[in-house]
Amino acid sequence: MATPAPVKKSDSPEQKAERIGDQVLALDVKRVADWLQALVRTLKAYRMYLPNNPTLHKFQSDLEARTWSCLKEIGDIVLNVQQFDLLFEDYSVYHNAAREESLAFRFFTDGVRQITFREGLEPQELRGVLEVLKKATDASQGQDDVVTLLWERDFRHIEYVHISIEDLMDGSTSQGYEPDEGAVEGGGIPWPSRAETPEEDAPVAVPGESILERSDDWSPKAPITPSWDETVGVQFTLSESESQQLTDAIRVEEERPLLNEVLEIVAAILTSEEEPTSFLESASAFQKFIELALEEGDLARANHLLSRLRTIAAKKSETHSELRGLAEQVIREIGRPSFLGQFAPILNAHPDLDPGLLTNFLVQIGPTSAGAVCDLLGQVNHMKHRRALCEALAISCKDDVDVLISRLGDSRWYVIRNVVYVLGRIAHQGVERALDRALHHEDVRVRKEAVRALGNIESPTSRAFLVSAFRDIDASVRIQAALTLAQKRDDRAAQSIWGAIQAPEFVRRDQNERRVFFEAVGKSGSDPFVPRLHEMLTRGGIFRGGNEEERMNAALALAWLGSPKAIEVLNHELTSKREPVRKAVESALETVRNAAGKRQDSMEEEPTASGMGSEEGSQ
Amino acid sequence: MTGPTTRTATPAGGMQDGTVQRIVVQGRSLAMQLCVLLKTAKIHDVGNVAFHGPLVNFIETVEQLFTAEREFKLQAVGDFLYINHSRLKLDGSSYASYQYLIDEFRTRGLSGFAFTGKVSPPEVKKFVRLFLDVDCKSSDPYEDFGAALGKLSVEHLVPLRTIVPQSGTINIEEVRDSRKAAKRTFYRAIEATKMLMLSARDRRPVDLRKTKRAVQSIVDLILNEEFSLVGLTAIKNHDEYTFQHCVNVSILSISLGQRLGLSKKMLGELGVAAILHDLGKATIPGWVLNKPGKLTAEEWKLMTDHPVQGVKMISKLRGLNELALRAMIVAFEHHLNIDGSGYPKLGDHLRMSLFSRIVAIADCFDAMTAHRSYRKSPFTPYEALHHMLVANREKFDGLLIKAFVNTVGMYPAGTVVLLDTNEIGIVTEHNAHDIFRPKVKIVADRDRKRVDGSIVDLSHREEGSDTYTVGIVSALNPEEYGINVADALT
Repeated sequence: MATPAPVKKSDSPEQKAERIGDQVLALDVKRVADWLQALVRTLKAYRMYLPNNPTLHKFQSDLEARTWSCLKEIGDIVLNVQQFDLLFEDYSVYHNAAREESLAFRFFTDGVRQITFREGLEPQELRGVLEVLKKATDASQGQDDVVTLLWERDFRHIEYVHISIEDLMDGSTSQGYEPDEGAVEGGGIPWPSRAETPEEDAPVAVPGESILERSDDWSPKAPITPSWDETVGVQFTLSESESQQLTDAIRVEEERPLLNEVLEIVAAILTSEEEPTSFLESASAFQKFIELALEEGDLARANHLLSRLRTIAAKKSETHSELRGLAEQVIREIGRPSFLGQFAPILNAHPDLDPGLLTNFLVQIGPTSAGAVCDLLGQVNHMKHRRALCEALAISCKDDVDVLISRLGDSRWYVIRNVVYVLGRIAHQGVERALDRALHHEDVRVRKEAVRALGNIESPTSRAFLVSAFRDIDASVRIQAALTLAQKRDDRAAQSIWGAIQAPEFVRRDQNERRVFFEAVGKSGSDPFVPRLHEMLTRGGIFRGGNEEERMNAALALAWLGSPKAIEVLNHELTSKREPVRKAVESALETVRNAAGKRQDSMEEEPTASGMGSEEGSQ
Repeated sequence: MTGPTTRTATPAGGMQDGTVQRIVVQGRSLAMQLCVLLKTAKIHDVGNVAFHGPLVNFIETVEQLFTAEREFKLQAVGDFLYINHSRLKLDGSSYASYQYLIDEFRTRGLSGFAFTGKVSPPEVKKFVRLFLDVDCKSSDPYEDFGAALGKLSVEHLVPLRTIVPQSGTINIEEVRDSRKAAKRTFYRAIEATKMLMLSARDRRPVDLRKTKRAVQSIVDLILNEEFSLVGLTAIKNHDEYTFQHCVNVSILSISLGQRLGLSKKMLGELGVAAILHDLGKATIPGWVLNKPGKLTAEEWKLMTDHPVQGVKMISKLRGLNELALRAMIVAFEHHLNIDGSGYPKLGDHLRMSLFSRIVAIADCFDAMTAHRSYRKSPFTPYEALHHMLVANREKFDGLLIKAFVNTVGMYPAGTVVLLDTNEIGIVTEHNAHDIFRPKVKIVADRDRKRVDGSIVDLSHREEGSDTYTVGIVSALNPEEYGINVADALT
């Protein structure tokens, strides 16, 4: 085979192929490079899509086709591993210097120096390799490195060469354990020096203290006088039924509900603790299992464990009052941002999680989780999850809104909007000032949410803030303010809206906004507004045209007002000799009737929280 | 005739030739199918329809092997089967079949067969019938069998005479390499365990990677060599008892697990769980661990709390995966007994896991055979087994104890024995086919003079007789005879 010329690592497979003189080799190098690209693509797809996703299946099929074709054309594929490169026949067929995602780097740092894919590689082995690589490149997957993962899989058609971990780990010298290569056989074992493990001095024995056996002393109580009769040696042969029993025992061990058993052990240990320090230690072990449940997206288990921890602590506190506080300390710890803040990918990967369970769990942790939950609001894709997070915040932070208010300074508008929504759910006067701040946020969506939130608070201040929103530069905010105020359904609200209608700049608003404001007056006002609206409806004469848009709006307001007095006016004007008046009334009544019908329909649908944003991504 | 060299097919870690790998895989198939073929023929006539399936499978495998090799041999040497020069990996699922073939070959004075060409169904049928009809009590069954095959024109299956792996025929370099690899693995495991326990004691983050790699090497060695590492567990070091004990328990547990047929992954998990079984002892001061004599109530409490401490320590490891969960269960249960005795007594925890039952046996065996500050001298491996089998039988799983005896032999490696030749020897390996007749290195002649003697396989019989050449009279306490077991085993 020709000596390959050095190839620039950044070359595309085609460029690499071109640079190689040997046509067959060039083709092989390109094939392997393409195959590795397909492998990386599929690996990415594995992380992005659920297992049943058709896109993922497409990537898998493509990879499988390339793999079999590659092995068929080339035979065994031997890849040498360098820090950022995988080499085939001394040519780089994969290069990625980004340490976080580079396959070569992952292999290299775990000590793998060569990996061989043999002809005969089976589909399940290929899928197994992908799972190994997925695990190995996922930082949240525990301590297992590539070597361990490959070793456990025991692939028949994949071999690898790795260096020892001692060679890998800096500063990890063998400390005198390694046998002297030149030593004579049978020269004994050089044992490590004892100086490395300084021992504490033994305390002086207390006279009269009771003396017990040792825990690790298996010494027989009577002298052993072993005597075996070799002729009965057969008694040590396992019969077929005994072998079968052992095989069954292995199956039982394989199917053992390990997690449940360990949880019972940890719970038993926790229940037995008497000392605060030990209790805290055991509760911390319990905490890890709660966190594990969360990491696995098993909220039911997480809730159950949290309750169990509280139950054990409550029982213990009957005799040791301080233990309940320690349990609460551990529970609060779960809400730390460094842990709970990392929960978003899990929520995003489990769209079917029960939002009720999520809310319940977060509420159980309490206000300490508020910071982390606010972080999650910015990362979670599914609306129902965001709703659950907001619900939890609304309950947990009811008496302590400072964390929420501090989040109004967040750089992400969608986080602020969700926080504003929560403040609106909390809706006490302590949040009014904060909502006023939000009314001046640069993003219109935040301002609209602030208007809605203020609508939940019944106080003169909140009304004043809502009225101030009539001066917002954005029509949608002004409209929202009018509609929100209208929901108060009192004359004070209607008067405020009427004030806006009377303001000089109102005529410069667009037609839709003007219509909404009139509707708002109609929805919130009462009979005192009827004469004013009647006057507007009939303004002008038979030969003198009025403002027809204003006439329509006045009729609409009266129709929405719907009081006997308003209906009387409308009925009267239905027979008006002036066609514009008559038509305005007919149109207004039709509009209100239609709206009422639609409202009836929409009441049968599930209500949606306005502050949650859309379902996917847009927040 | 010299035996095949040991070129093991390591599925992971070795830069093996692909062809060798393929032959080893097909060789395994061949051995398994030959076993099925012979077993079927013992029940049904070779003309029976039940014989047809195994026959076809066997012939297909032979044909596959001929695509890679012009001629190949399936042979038994010692306790292993070889396909040409490559030893077939022994694992739980193949153990019984290989043992069956080795025994069948041995009783007929054969080491195996050479396949000189593709075989036809009639030829295989004749071969099988003749094989089963061989008079095993004849003075030379090998000769008889060969002659019978010739008469019926069975040409492509040539019997091979038994290979006696005497010291002169064993490749010394190979043995040395194998020992060196075993020793290296052993030391590294102890080092990894020491680092692990010291980290745990000092409440530093525990890195399991080194431990896992060490256990993987142990598993690989045990799957391939099986006995040499078990032999190393017989060398006890008083000063570093705690660390070595963990490694010994791991080696013994893996060996027993392998005998039971655990998968490679499970053996890895068992090995790590066994190393971690005493992790809780890292919290116990050295003066308590090494206290000569009995413990005070406070010291006893400390001591009996180590399973609970172990659970807590393991729970702090990053990632509570299956391995960590198994290790926690083993740490918690390894001092519980089958009869309900033992400790810790918490909750209504009754059912011990298989791993815990295995580790409890290995733990007890190694603890009894080690030098401890509170005991004048350790028990011999033979005494320890006796104690576990008789006096404390109800404490352990009866089937596992049986399997353990089959794993280490009735005279485990490191046992000093008096032979009926009046020589003294140290057991180096046990014989899987006869647990009472291990391989023994002679260390003192009949006049009790120290010698660097040969290794004698006590399962050998005198030629043409049922009588064994050499037998064991009794197990001895090496300290009474000033014998250093380590010298013979390293």
